[in-house]
Amino acid sequence: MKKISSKFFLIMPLVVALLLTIAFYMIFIFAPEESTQGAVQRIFYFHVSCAFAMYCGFGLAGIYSVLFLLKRQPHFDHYSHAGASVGFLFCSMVLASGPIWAKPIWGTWWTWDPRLTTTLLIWLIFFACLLLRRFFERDPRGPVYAAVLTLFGVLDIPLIALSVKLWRGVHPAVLGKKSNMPLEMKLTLLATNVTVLVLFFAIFWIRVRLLKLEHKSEMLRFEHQEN
Amino acid sequence: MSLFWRPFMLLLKKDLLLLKRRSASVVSVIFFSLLIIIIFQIGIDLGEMSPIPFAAPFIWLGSLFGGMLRMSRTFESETRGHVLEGYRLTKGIVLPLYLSKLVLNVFFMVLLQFLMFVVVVALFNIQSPLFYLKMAWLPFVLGAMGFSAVGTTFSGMVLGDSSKDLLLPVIAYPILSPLLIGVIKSFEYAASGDVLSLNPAWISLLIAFDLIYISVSILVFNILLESQ
Repeated sequence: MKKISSKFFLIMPLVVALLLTIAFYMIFIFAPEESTQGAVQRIFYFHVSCAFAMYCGFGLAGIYSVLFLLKRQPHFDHYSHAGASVGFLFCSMVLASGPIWAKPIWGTWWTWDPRLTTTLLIWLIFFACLLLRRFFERDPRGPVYAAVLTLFGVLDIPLIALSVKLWRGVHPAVLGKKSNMPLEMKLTLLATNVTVLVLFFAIFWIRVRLLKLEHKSEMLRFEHQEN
Repeated sequence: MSLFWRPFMLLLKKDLLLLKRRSASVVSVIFFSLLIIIIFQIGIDLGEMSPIPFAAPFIWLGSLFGGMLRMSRTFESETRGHVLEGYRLTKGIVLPLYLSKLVLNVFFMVLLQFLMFVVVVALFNIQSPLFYLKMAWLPFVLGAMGFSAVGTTFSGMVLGDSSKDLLLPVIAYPILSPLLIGVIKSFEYAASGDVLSLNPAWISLLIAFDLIYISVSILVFNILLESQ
């Protein structure tokens, strides 16, 4: 098992690098330039893919926090922690790439558009989750509290999304509408989505490994102190 | 059923008695909320605009800041004299304990909102306060329920932490954001600025928020009590 893990550790960066090269080629060369927005529209592929990865991270965090609350096994907490922190990283990328796209199109870095506000609120929720973990570091109650807060946060996402729907905005809808994108754009979006998801799972896997090692060293330190 | 009602009523009576005895802390919370409204009133120059659309946000904001102080003290009486250990050893205490705290917090929040309403009516010179109250009670009561559901649960979480006054608002306000927006957006105003009606979609969102968080809080509260 250890051998497979270390081999995967060696191969994974190569796979991610290869997929990123293909994605960059498709974004900058293969995909046609959008007629009204120009070159800046190419950020869309990265922006949307990061949003998918963000929801993937928060979804995993929610599932594993429930499993942790039910089973109380530390590895479920590691998965939940990793999902929240990697989801938070991709949420930050969405919040960073959004204004870069918005400035030339809307003429402003930020508007209180509902979808932007939603992403910011989700970012704040998971920032609070990670902060709570820091507050209760090395406290056995920490993982339980973090799991409860993560569960509350994940349950909040549909409510925030619903409030967005009620509070209509100017943000372009990517999902749920019949798209009239050319095939090259659709393929580029698909390739970028796959790449970012692979990148997400690679970081997620590394984070889980790190958390497991931290837990193991903590246990050893505790045993040493006991003896 | 008496297994629930008897401990529930006893706990509620005990907390009401403690609230009465510690009236100084209750007055402090009310005074703090009042200060928030006065500071906002000074900070925002309404000019020629109708003050009525600002009344609900001011009442809600004042109550939220004051209410958070109250939430952080929800389990104050349980921190001394091994009371929590006693609760842990008592069978079937979790639901009555959580619901008694929740009911008390909802009662406190509704009372606080009513007092802030009286202050705002005077400060904003609202001409028809009874009509405003008739419109505003539903979103405010639903808001108080959702706020208290999350606040009571999180208060149980930060119970043993020395920096709970700092931690509680940091973790609670982001979760409460749909509720914070929902209460304000429930009001629909006419062009003159008067309250016209309540938006049923936002009221539904508030009801959904309350139902979800009260149910989940009841489910996780046992785990929180055990981990203390």
